Amino acid sequence: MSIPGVPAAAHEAPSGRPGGPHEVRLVWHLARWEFRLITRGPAFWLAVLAAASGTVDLAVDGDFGPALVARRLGDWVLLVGPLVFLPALGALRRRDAACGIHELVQSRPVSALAAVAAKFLGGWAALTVTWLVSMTAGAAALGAVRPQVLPYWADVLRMSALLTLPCYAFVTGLALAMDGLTGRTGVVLATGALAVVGSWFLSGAVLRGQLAPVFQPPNFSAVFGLDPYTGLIALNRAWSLALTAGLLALALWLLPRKVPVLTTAAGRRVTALLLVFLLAGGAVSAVPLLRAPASVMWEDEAQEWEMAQVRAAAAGSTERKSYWVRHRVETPAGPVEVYLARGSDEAAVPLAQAAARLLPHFPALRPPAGEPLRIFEGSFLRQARLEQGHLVLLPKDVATARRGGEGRADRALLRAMAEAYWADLAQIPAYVPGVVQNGEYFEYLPGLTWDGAAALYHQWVVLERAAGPEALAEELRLWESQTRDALDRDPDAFTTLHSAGAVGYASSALSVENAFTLWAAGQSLGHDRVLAALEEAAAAVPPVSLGGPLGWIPSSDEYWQVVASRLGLEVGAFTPNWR
Amino acid sequence: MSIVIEGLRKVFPDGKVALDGIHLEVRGTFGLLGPNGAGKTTLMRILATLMTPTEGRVTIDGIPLTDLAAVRRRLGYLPQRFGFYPQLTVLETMEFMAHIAEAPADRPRLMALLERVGLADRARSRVRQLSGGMIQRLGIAAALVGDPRVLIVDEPTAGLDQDSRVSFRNLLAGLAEDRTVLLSTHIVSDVETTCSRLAVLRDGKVIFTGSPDQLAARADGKVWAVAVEPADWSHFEQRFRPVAAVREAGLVRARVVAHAPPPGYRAEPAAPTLEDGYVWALRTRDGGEAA
Repeated sequence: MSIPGVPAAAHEAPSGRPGGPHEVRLVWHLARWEFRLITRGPAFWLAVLAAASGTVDLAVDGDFGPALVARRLGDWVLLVGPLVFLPALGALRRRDAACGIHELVQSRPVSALAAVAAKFLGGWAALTVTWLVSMTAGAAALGAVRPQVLPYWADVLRMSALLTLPCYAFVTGLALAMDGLTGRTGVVLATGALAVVGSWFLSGAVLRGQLAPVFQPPNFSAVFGLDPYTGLIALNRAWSLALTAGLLALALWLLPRKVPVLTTAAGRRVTALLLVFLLAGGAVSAVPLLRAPASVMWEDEAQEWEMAQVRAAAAGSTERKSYWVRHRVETPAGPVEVYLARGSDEAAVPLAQAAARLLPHFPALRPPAGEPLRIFEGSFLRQARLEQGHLVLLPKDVATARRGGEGRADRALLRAMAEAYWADLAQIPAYVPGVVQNGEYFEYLPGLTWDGAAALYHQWVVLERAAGPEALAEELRLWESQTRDALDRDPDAFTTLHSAGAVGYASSALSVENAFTLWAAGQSLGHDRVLAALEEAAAAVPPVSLGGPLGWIPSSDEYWQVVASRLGLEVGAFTPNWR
Repeated sequence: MSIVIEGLRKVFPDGKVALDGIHLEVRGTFGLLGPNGAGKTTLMRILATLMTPTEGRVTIDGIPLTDLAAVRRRLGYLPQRFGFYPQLTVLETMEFMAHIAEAPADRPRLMALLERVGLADRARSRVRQLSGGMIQRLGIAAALVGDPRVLIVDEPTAGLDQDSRVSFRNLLAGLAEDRTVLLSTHIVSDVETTCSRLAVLRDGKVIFTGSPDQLAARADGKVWAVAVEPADWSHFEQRFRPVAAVREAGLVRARVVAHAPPPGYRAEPAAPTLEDGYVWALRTRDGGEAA
């Protein structure tokens, strides 16, 4: 039997068991078409290019360390990309009905299982293209700006894929389930936007622990392919995939109810399988997620783990040798060992030389005789700190040293040394968990306790002694502009300050005001006396950390009372911390 | 190869009876005629497995309609209203339709099909660039892509120009040799030129089954050619519902299907056409059988 003038169609599979090879072949064909339909047309590629431009922009800025690549893909492409593509992904019913092809398709031997599976795979593949293009653009830009990072690209890809692709699967599943349920573009888009934006903006233990991990990668800078957190992230992403399985099960359950003519022979078995996957994946991944709000817990564990790495490295061994690249630099003040995350090589020498120049001003940081000074890059820290006498810097300190050469390295290291020293005296731990009080979430920010003012004042003292009065005068002029009123007008003033060449790292207006009070006292009483008073007061008051975030205010007030009495100042000279 | 329908009944959730005890055996090229709301599209959608009947039994090529996958592999369906993905080209659309029909998607074959419906020269055009008639032809090609044993087409010539309609009729005639084609339409001439048998549906019931000649014969002796003064036309049209009218030599020459010639007018008996038989069947309670 044939159509006149047309070769006969020898059917590939005139009959077949549901779920058999012919159905797999059909899913493959349909998924390819779905992919072509989504990626056909300029709108898709404009969106992809827009996403890619974000990564290129970072590379050109020079902030494109290997870890940042994946991070950026988490924060940027992961959140924005799916939102752009959600209407295209949720095409289970809506698009086919809109263009009128639905009855042509439904009168063919296409099962509900094939329809859902193909649209999911095609949609996921299209999102993966977004990711691949962004990665390629990033690699190309990085190759031009920092070619030495390219050898680590495979690690970047692996980590980024681990973080990104399961989330893309979740978004695709969400779109399909919503379209299966309502068949309306607006609902698909609104649900996706609500989930994505909601997980980004809302706080609270449930959202942070359960919803946010789906979208928000934890700070994995330091775990870049090297550490035990890969496992945790994998578990986290198992949660994403488990939710995806649940959404696909929902879509598979809904579709035959909304489109009853679709065959469902194998669909029920697959739905059951997906639900088993949901339960298993959910159970496995729930263990770390239930231990604590996930993003918080990871930060906590990551900081503790990183400090353990510092101790191990200082003792001559590291759990993972590739975690840092060690640079040993001989300086006039002795050897300095700089442990940097990969890709930061050129910062080592400026940092070591800056350390040699500044060390005389920080006697407490001097290593024991015969030992080198050790400086580590701590990717998880919020504040530079001392770990058993070793200085642990922030990645931005290293980036400043890398970009700005010795002058900037001196300034960055001065700030880091001062902050680490005073945070150590205040006994602020590496990690301070946030707390919820009366519905408000409080978490630690560097500079919100008395140590911020002491550290800033100390920097000015050292800056004047090391770089001279002119350098200090210029620095003070910049800080004087950062009054509380100025900060009210420009919440990003400290970033502006940083761009202008000052220290500029997150501090508070309170710290600046109290630092100026201390500076005025130092000019009349002598800076050494003021510094000594600050150190004595630190020993006289309870550690800041004891009260947690809510204990900072009374702790800081007590500290300023002690300092004021030792220096003969009115306690009112210091700005209370609750203002 | 046939479609056998026994006691088919479809009642919608709102209680409307769309089909009421349909019995039909469809072979060769079979026409389905009926006015709007007669149940044609409901019947076609049931046969195309897009709707489930309330009662009755249907087999296609001996396979019960409940075996969806097997039936669909033997079926080509062109709905009354349809479309394609506008961003695909004509050839890509054919490839897509071949894939979901589990049919070979080799280009020579698909191009031959497009050639058959007169779209070979538009193979690389996007669907969004096609006219309504071209999309209709593409739909026909798409319905044929799986080389179906049973082809169900619902109002396929609507929107086609005369040339395309003739081409389509010729295409159907070529197909009918070794397969079953069920053609639903309200255009009587389509059935007249392509179908060897037909059924007339009215209010969900089959009121006639037979050949076009048999349907035409039902109006034998009931067709009158009447000459009407233009001034009287409005009154005449309202009273006798003519099936055709032509203005000629200062008069309106009309055809009327009725038991007797219109009183008060000069009427002559005329040979019945299929359209006359169709109209007569619809206007009589028993489908014109008793007459």
